[in-house]
Formats: sequence, C-alpha cells, structure tokens
Amino acid sequence: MSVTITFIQKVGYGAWRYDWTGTAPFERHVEGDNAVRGTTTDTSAVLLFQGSNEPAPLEVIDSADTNTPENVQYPPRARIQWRGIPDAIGYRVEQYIASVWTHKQQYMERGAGYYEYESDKLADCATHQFRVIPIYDLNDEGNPLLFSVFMVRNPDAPEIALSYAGGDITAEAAA
Amino acid sequence: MSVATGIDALRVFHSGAVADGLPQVDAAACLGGLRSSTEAAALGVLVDVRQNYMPALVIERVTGTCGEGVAEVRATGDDSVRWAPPNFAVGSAVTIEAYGRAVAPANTAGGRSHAVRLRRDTAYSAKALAGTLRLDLAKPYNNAVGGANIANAARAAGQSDYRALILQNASDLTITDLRFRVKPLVATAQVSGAGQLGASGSGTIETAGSFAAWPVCGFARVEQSGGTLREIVYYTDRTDTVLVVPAAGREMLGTTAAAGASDDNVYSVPGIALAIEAPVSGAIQEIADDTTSPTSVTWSTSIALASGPSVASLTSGGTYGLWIHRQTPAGATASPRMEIALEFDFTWSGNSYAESMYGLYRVEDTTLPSNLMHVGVDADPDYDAAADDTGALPLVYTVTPPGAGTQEHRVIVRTQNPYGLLSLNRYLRTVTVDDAGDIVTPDPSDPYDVQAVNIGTGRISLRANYSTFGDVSNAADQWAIYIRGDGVNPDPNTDTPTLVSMSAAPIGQGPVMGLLTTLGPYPKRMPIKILVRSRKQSTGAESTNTTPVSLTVNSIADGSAWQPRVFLGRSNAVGFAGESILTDTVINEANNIFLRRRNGASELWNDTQLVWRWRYDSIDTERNGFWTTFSRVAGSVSGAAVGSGVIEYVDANTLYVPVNGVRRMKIDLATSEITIPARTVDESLVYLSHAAEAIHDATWAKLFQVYDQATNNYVTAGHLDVDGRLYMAVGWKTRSTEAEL
Repeated sequence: MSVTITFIQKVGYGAWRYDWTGTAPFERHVEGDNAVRGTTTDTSAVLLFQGSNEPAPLEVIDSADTNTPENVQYPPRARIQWRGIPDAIGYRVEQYIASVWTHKQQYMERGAGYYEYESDKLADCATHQFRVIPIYDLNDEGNPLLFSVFMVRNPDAPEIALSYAGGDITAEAAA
Repeated sequence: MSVATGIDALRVFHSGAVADGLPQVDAAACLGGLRSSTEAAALGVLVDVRQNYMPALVIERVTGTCGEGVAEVRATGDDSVRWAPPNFAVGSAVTIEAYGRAVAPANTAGGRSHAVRLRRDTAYSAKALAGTLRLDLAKPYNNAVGGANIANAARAAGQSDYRALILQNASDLTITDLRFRVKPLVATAQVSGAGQLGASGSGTIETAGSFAAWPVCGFARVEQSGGTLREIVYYTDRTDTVLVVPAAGREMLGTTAAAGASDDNVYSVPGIALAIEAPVSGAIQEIADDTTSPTSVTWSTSIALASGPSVASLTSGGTYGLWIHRQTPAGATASPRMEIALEFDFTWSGNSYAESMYGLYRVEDTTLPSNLMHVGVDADPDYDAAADDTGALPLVYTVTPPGAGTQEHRVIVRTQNPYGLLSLNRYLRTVTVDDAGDIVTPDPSDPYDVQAVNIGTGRISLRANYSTFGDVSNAADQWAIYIRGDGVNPDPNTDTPTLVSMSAAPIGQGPVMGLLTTLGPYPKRMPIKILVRSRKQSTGAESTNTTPVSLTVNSIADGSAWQPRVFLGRSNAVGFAGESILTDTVINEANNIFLRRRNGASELWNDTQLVWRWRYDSIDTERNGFWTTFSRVAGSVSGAAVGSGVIEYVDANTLYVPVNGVRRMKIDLATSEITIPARTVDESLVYLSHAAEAIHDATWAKLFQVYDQATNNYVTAGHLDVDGRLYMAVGWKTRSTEAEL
C-alpha cells in the first residue's frame, strides 16, 4: 500500500492510535471489516482491539492505490448463505469446534428469501465446518445443509518481546 | 429437460455422475464419465441479504462473462425485472411468471452474454416483484474450473492434474460453431523488447511496458510477432518490467524451450490446456484420479477462439466433454490466489454468444519461513527487501554499532503462512545503541494530541497526552513546557521549560498521562508558541519533538467591571466615581527614582524630574499621549539586563527598560534622551492587558499601563517588544517644559 503509517501508540486499555500519510480519501480495514463505511479523509484513528501487546493490524488504502485491500481479498471470516424453506420457522447455524457441533446463531424464517451467517474470525490455514439446520413446528429439525470452508488469510501478528545482549537484538515470543 | 435460450442454451455441468443427470456436487470428482445435473459455477454469487425486496427470486446462475463486481436485479413491474451486470448497461425488462424461470441479459447491444438465470419460487413467496436485489459476483475458489489447492508435496515435485466438464445443448435448436480457448488473465500483451529467454535454462523476460497488472507469479505465453506460439513458461516472481523464469519453469504445457526475440508478444495466461471429447453413449472416458491424463485427446493452449478446440454443431440435448489440464511446475511459488480462466463461444438462433468461466486455487509451500524479521537503522524497515532473519522464534539481528553517536534500530516481526500471506502488523519496536555497542535508553516518546486554546482573560488552556506504553525503562514522569511569546519557536537547547509532574489520565485510559493546565495571563495579540515535551525527571531526558503549537492571545486579562449603577428609588440614582489611585513604586531609593500611578497617567520620576507621563483617558482623549521633555533617539539598544526589575537602574544617569532579559530602551537622565531602535504608532498592534502596574512585564514585552478611571481598568498605552520596537496606542508628545506634560 502506498500509505505510510507514521505513528502507532497504545492510548488506553485495548485502544490504539494510528496516524498515517497518503492521498485522501482513505479506506480503512481491520480484521476483514471495513472500519469506516465508505471512505474517509481522516489521517488518524483510534481503534479498540483486545490484543495485549500488539495493535490491530490496520490496513489503510489511499486513492493512489488500485490494489484490492488484503482484508477484502483474504477476509478472516466466512459468510454463509442459504435459501429459505417455505415451511420452516427458523434456522440454526452450528460450527464444528473441538469435535462438537456448537450452536452459533439462530434465525427466524421471515420470508426474506436468502439468509446469511457471518462467522467469527477463523483460524488460518484450517478447514472449518458449519451446518444450517432448518427448524419446523414442534422443534422438528430438517436435514442439515453442510458447509466446509478452508480459510487462508493474513496470519495473526506474533506477540514478541525484544531483548538486547552481546550485540544481538533477539525477538522471541512474549511471555 | 428445461428449454433454454440465448446464452443459457449451452449449459456446463460437472462430470462424474453415477448415472446420467444425477447430482454430483464435488468439483474434485469431475473425472469424466457421465454428465451430472450439477451446473459448474462460472462465478460465485453473494446475495445482499440486507435489502432483498424480492424474496421469491432464486439466482440460479450468473454467466461468467458478467465478470466480478456488483450486479443488480431490478424490478420493473409485478412480474418483470431487468438485469444490470457490473460495468455494463442494464438490459430490457424480462417477464418471470409465477413458478417460472427467465434469463435476463444485459443491454442487447453486445450484452446478450452478460446474463442471469432466475427462478421465481412462488411457493416460498407470492409477493409481487419490487425493488432491487443486489449481488456481489466473485471468482470462486476450488470449483471445477479452479481445481483443488496444490499441496506442498505436489508443488515441490510438480504436478499435472485433470478434470472434465460436460457441456449440454439445453435448447430446442442446434448450436453451431462452438469454440474454446484459454483466456488470458490480462487482456493486453507486453513486448519482450528489453530482454528475452535463452534457448534453455533460467532467465528473464523484460519489457519496456509493464507487468504491473500481472499476477505476482504464474504463466506467460510467448508468441512470435506473427502469432505463432514460441513457448509457455512459468515465472516465480516479477517486477513491473521483469519476469523471473527458473529452469523448471521452461517448456510448460507441452511446449519446447526456445530462445525469445525482441518483438515477441508475451501474455499472462493460466497454466492450463484444454481438450474436447465427444461422448460415447452419453459418457466420456473416466480417469482413475485427477493426476491421470485422459487418453486420445488433443490438448490446446490456444488463446484464440479461431484456433482452439471446436465443435461444428451440437444438436438439441447433445453433450460434449471439456477436459482441463492444469500444470504446476516443480518448485512453484507459494500463492494464495492462482487464477484459471477459459472461454467458449457459439452460435444459436443466428446470434453469437460467449461465456467465460473462472476458478481460483492456492499453492502451498510449507518450507516458507514462519516468521520474518525486518530491521531498519534510523529509518523504518524496507518491507520489500530480504528479511534480516527468518524462521521460528527467536529471531536474531546482529547490530553493527555506529562509528560515533547512536543508532536506532526499528524492528518488526511478521508471521507468514504457507501460502505466502504475511501478517499486516506495522508496529515497530526500537533498540538504540551507541558507538560502543551498548544499549542506550531512548528518550521518552513524544506527547501527542497537544492543543492550546484561548479561554478568555488572556489565558490559554493547554492539553496533551503521553503514553508510557513502549517506554519501559525511559518512561517520562514530567511535562516540559516551553513557551515563547515573540513569535519564535521555542528552542529546547536554550530555553528553560516549566516542569509539571505527570498524573495519570482518568481511570480506563491505561498507560496514558494527560496534561491539562492553564497558562497566562498574556496580553492580547501576543503570538504564543508552546512546545510540550515528555521528560524523565531522574535523567533529564526529554522527548525529541520540536514542533510547537501556536496561537495568538485573543482576550484581555483581568479586566474590571465598570459603569456601576446603584438606584435608591426611581429618583435617587447614586452615582459612583471610579477608584482613585495614587501609588509609587521605587526603582532606586538612593536617587529617588520611582514609578507613579495616578488616575489617567503613569509616570517615571527621577527625583523631581519627570521623565515621562503616559496619559490615557477613555472619555477625555484629547490629552492622551506619551508626554516627555526627553528627546527621542533612534538607535540600537542591547546587552544583558542585570536584575529582574521592570526598569534596570545602572547609575544615577542611566536606566534601561529590558525585555526578556535584554536591554531594549535606554533612558539617559544626563542628556535627557530616550533611545529605542524603532517606533510604531498603531493602537491595533499594541498588546493589551489590564495589568495593575505602571509597567507590566509580559516576558516578551513590557506593557506600559495606565489606569483609566472612567472604565475602572488598567489599559495598555504602549508596549516595548522583544525586538526593541515601541508600539504605541497614543502619540509621542515632546515638550519643552514639564508644565506642559
């Protein structure tokens, strides 16, 4: 990206401040989200991120950059869509986590036609399984619609600690 | 079988069905055999569920020719819609009956192949069609066109894999002139005028044009200037003008290595070849697995429809097999996104139609380093340069100490996955060393969000924040506030700051220290520059920021109310006279030199000699002025002042008025001369204050104050600026005798 991020500083519990330079307007993306709807002319932002020592990997794209943002090209979340069923009263979305089908979200059948579930941030380089179970009267369940998603995205930043001894700078995993 | 028309006349299905026409949804199982009922996706379609006003509409298929982007289905009536694909004119209205299907193309002027096939699911919703249904179209991963991801072992050894699609004429009419080609990934070729490959081995292809739109790694088709294929190669890396081709990237897809020419045209192409196969008894051959090549087929890498595989005619219901051979060279580059594209066209009912199909896949390299460390010395790291260390943590960088002084090493570690994607962090950690290679405790970080605003009565509110995060051993605990009022940037090397202890910001702010203080009062119109630094008290180390905030004081300090009114009944208004003053301030007792304040005048006396009388009366202005019997001399006045009084007494004959510690006005009592470098009479330029002294020291100016009884305020009749110029709100009145003053 042609933007230069000039300042990153922790300014509160889970809050990080970023400044950047580039050619406005800017798009800002973090963890697959478009952090600001549309574009902005701001050159500074404070983001809330519950990491400990590593700030959120903010990606800023300016107007001179024609590349697709990596957060858009390789988003960390899956969006699952399915077609509604006339007689269903709702749908339950489950994810296969640690060998257990785990309830994630429930939707009412409201005549919308298409439904969508957006997952949590998914682990990189791993296959994630989801299923959508239609629910009928008396809590009858229909056949699950299975989804399998192989996630490849920008990996998480390492949490490191720096030390200096004997002329060497060492970066190791933070405790 | 449904009757299809137009671009929908020819449909593409997965092969590998257990029986003709049964579903087969696994793209990886498209190994030939029988046609399934599962259509091969050309593009992925994501419905905008936030605003779907046509819940009855089912998106069955969008043609690949539409390309990626946002498309819309727009209702034109209760039972009709029209189609607006990305970057193409919207088509005419198409009717969709209840429970029916329709194909809606884009604008017929070249848009007949940009289409969507819709079904109206009236059993789900009987609502009339209305509003707009928005779709996001994107090239899909791992569909039958893209193929499965290439695992590391296959990447390292190289692999060819195969799969088959079955095309069927779903219409009532015969399709003619069905042609296929490999579709270039970038429409425009580049000329290899700047460098060509040799007859064999590794090398580069170089252009005076640009490869900037090409994939980072992939396949290049080299054609002679007349269009004859010379060779297909694989490049592992590129710049905007150079493709890097390894030896293992030569002779791709059945081509033979050949030296290039300077007028060759080079195309970005997917790494595939195509072949067609006529079915026998409704089936094409079935291969054992995806790495087994079909037999007796003729492969084509042609990017021209006229010279690719073709089928003269396909009758109604007829099928034909399309094989895709995908090659991965040994040692291919890891990639999170490799693209396959193919195209076919045909004639139906006298019109030509063209369809593109796309797919994506990934290439894995488990030998890629899991972490990369970049270090910049006195600058941010160069992320495009080779990493300074790679692999599993810990990573090590050996410092070369500077010959003199200190060096700041800015360090970042990023994680990499086996597909070559890096973490997006940009936060730098720093280590500073001196010329002995010893670590130097860095200066505290700069404050941020420094703001200075006028808040009235000549005062300024100053705010700033400082974060201790990252300043481990060098965290600041004081604010160093440098202030100047002469329009000059504060110089931390020479100016003395005001030190304020830091206090933590309110609860919840974490490591942030906040400054909120009030400065002044300063006279109105004084140009203030404030530099705020963070400071560590025990070492005296300060942050290194040098840019101040600036503002001009826009209010007058400490005024008094005036025009008092008291009424005792309607006819008993009791008037007030303003305060009456008469006070003296001694400058030198031995020689009886003093300053006198009285109503409407401030005076300097040398015993019984009146040096000057500043007069000011807001009601009776006729006598306002700087009255003196002393001569005015234009000349330089300089030198360090002694003492801190508003007037410096040197001897019985010599006084100075200093400003900010420097002599700027000389009063020669022996010769009755007042020397100043320059003078300006302009009330609008005089610093204003209500200070209650005859001479008010505003650090960068001396304000000559006069008590105005009518307004009960001290007003500024003039000020002596830091550069020695005397600004006057009243005129200079030289007279011969004191009686006239």
